[in-house]
Order: sequence, then structure tokens, then C-alpha cells
Amino acid sequence: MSSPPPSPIAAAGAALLAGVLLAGCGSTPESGTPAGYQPRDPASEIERVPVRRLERSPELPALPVSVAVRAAAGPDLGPVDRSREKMVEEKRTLEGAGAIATALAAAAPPLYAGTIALGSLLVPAATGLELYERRYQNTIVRTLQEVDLPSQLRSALVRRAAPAGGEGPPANVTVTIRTFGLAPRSGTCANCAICVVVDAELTVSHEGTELLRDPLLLTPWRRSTDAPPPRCATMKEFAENDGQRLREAILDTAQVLAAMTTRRLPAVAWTE
Amino acid sequence: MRPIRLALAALLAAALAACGTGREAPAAGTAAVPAAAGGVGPLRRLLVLPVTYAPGSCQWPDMAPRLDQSAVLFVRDWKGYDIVRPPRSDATLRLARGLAEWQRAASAGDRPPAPLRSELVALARDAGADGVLLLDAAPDCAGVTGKTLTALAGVVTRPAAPLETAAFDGRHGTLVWRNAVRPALWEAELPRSGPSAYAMQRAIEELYQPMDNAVPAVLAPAAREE
Repeated sequence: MSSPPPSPIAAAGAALLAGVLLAGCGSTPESGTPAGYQPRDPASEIERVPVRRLERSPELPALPVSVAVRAAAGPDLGPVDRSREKMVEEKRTLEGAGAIATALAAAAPPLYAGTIALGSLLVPAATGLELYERRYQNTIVRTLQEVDLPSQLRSALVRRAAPAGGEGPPANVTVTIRTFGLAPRSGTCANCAICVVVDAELTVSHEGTELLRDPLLLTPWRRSTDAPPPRCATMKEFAENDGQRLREAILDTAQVLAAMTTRRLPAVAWTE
Repeated sequence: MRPIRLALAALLAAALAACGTGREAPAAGTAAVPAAAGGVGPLRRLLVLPVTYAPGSCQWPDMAPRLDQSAVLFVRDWKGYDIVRPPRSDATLRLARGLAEWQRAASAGDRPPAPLRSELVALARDAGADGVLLLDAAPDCAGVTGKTLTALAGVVTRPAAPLETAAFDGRHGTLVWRNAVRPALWEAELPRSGPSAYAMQRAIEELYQPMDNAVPAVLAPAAREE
């Protein structure tokens, strides 16, 4: 999809507006120590990735928001709920499951060696997951497909977005979920813990200008400083009661991602 | 008949030896998760008491600090709690020992005695902690034969668990979560130096894996108000 080139007047206006916004909204590393952040400990092997915030000058109003969640693969997100007159833009990028696996393997082979990715394939022979019973595998895969993280995240962000007030064009907040699935915490064995992992990217743009691009990392060994530990359990525990624990973990993860997004964007109008 | 009598006598002796403790332990080395009231998840800031260690026949060097370090790292990095350390004082040690002693005999729903509760509440308040975490270790170095007899005696009465933990609400001093395990990797004959670093880490994972994750800081009311 391509859009027509803007007129010179529109381009100049957009550049001016972007300049004003950029002067007021600084993309800065998060200052101070956020609650829950533990300073790097030499004894800890977990890498903490600093986060950035889109700040706002007190004299400027918060930007109205348009939310989009992109998933590398996933089911149809359905029509947008405009019952609260929110400006919500829905975007979907559908790619094959094979693309996820390829991208992941290239990005971080050790982390994703045993990953079960959403919409992707379970490869027992290659990952050691043959240790798990087939019925657990089936429940896990079904639950991952049923409790769709992108749509849950989108709903959580829509709930937090302030209603549009007609104060100019919105900031486009886009969360792209690069991967979502389960990965082993340390070793791969029948009783070893596996964790719900998400590797996503947050981007904010306004009038065609990108204001912020920052990762949202909830993986076992590499996490954003504002991210809690991933939810972990054994395959059996996740699969019990028709995947109830995994279901809850995914829903919690969506809420956490939404909260991380809104906390990083004080320049954008949120209700909470 | 004589070998049978000897075996029965050994079994009886092992059973009697195991009767001395009220510590509730899992029979097969897996986690047992007794009652929790409101859950430990909201107690984000946990004060970790000094490890109470009853060496018994195991003279493992540096056992308490090794356990302490492994537990703190796991609870912090994998469960998401902020860890607070208490002042090094005799009062803190007395409180830890008192709670460990109480815990060994406590049943589900019991509350620590009032003096212990008030000490615990005061300590948590002074440290700005939401809760207090206790880790009690009493390893068994009876050797494979002794452990087999203890396991047989476990049919009659529950054997003591080598590792037990409990979390208390810092405002009321009540027990909110507890767990006891017989670490799988500690069942074999261990070297004089004690469990390897890996066996220690796995034991702590077994003990704390069933614990709820802390309520994430980004979802806490203070974070939302920013």
C-alpha cells in the first residue's frame, strides 16, 4: 500500500508541527530507578535492557492516540470497538509461521532453540520437546492459539487510551509482536520450567515522523528494566485444567505489555 | 526369623527417629504447597531473614550463605520480588530461629505466637517491607541406607523435609505461603563439601517455583498514577 505524496504546504505544516512536538516530547532514557528495577548484580546472569520514554512538556497537551498491534502471525482481530469514540487504527501484518521461525533463529538462537511460537509449528524432534506428553503439547498449542495475545494487548491498550478530543492528529502507537510463545527457562526436560516469552517493539510516530522506537522484552534472560519476570511453570502445570494456567499467564502478559507501553509514553493521552 | 526381627527393629527405630519433628514434608521429594490466605504476590517487598540451618549429621561448609544467595537470586530474578535485608543483629537471628521452630510444628491455618508476630511486624515496618521470608534447612546425611530406612519409616510417619520456607504478611505477621521439599538431587550420596552449585540451584528452584510471582511493579497503583 502506498499513499500519494503530500503537498508542499501540508509537508511544511507537518514539519513545523513535528518540530514543535519534538521540542516538547523528548524521547529519553527513563530517569531514576523505576519501581521494581533491580540494579545489575554480578551474580545475576539476566541482562536488563534500559527503556526509553516519550516525555511531554507540562505546557503541551497530551497527544491523542491511535493504537495498532501488529503480529507476525495470528487470527483475524475483528472489527474495532468504537463504542467509546476512541480513535483506533487496526493494522495487521500476516506472515507465514515459517518467517517467525527464521527470524527468531537469526535473532537469538540460544533463547529460541526450544521455543514454541504462536501460530508457528511445534518441532518436537528438533527441540527436545518430545519429552513432553503429546496431550500436554496439544493443550498448549491450542491454548496459545485460542488466547490470542495480540488481540488481548490491543484491547488492553484501547481501554487505556483516552477518548479522542479533536486536538489534532493522533500519535500512532504501534506494538509489533516479533515473537510470542514458550521457551525453556534453563534446561529442556519434562519437569523443567518453561516460560511465556514475548519479544515486541514499540514505535510511536506523529505526522509521519518517528518519535520513539524501543523494544518490549519479556524473555527469560533478556528483559526490559520495566518488565517483570516471565511467567514460568512446567509443561504439565501449564496444560492442566485445559490450559488454565497458561491462559491466565497470557492474559497477565497482555496487561503487563499494555502497562509498560503506557508508562513509557507520558506524552500520549491515556486514561490510566 | 532373626533377619526379619532385625529389619523390623530397624524400621521401628527409623520411624521413631522421624517422629521427633512435626515438619510436614512431601513423601516423594516433590513440592507440597500448604494453605495460603491472600497469596504472597501482593507482598512485593520481601524481607529475607537469615537462613536457619540445622546441620545435623551434615557438616557442609558455607551451607547457609550458599542457600541464602541462591534463594535471593531466584526470588528476585524469577519471581519478581524486591529483596530487603534485615539488620545483622541477635534479635533478627532469634526471630528467624523462633519462626523456624514454630514452623516445624505448625499446621495449616496456625498463626505464630503473639510475641513472634509482633517482632516480625516491627521488623517489617522498620525495613519498609510488605512481607517476611524464612528459609529453614535441615539436611539429612544419613547415607543411602539411612535414607532408605527413613523413606520406609515415611510410610508410617512423615519424614522431615531438608528445605522448608514460609512467607509472612508484614502487617499482621500471619503465614501466607509455605512449602517444603526433599530436593531430588540431594537424595543421592553427596560429597563432604555438600551439594554442587547446580544441585543447590535446582533445590531452590524446587522450593520456590510454586510461589506466586510478585504483582508486577508496572501494574501497581503507584506506577499507574505516574
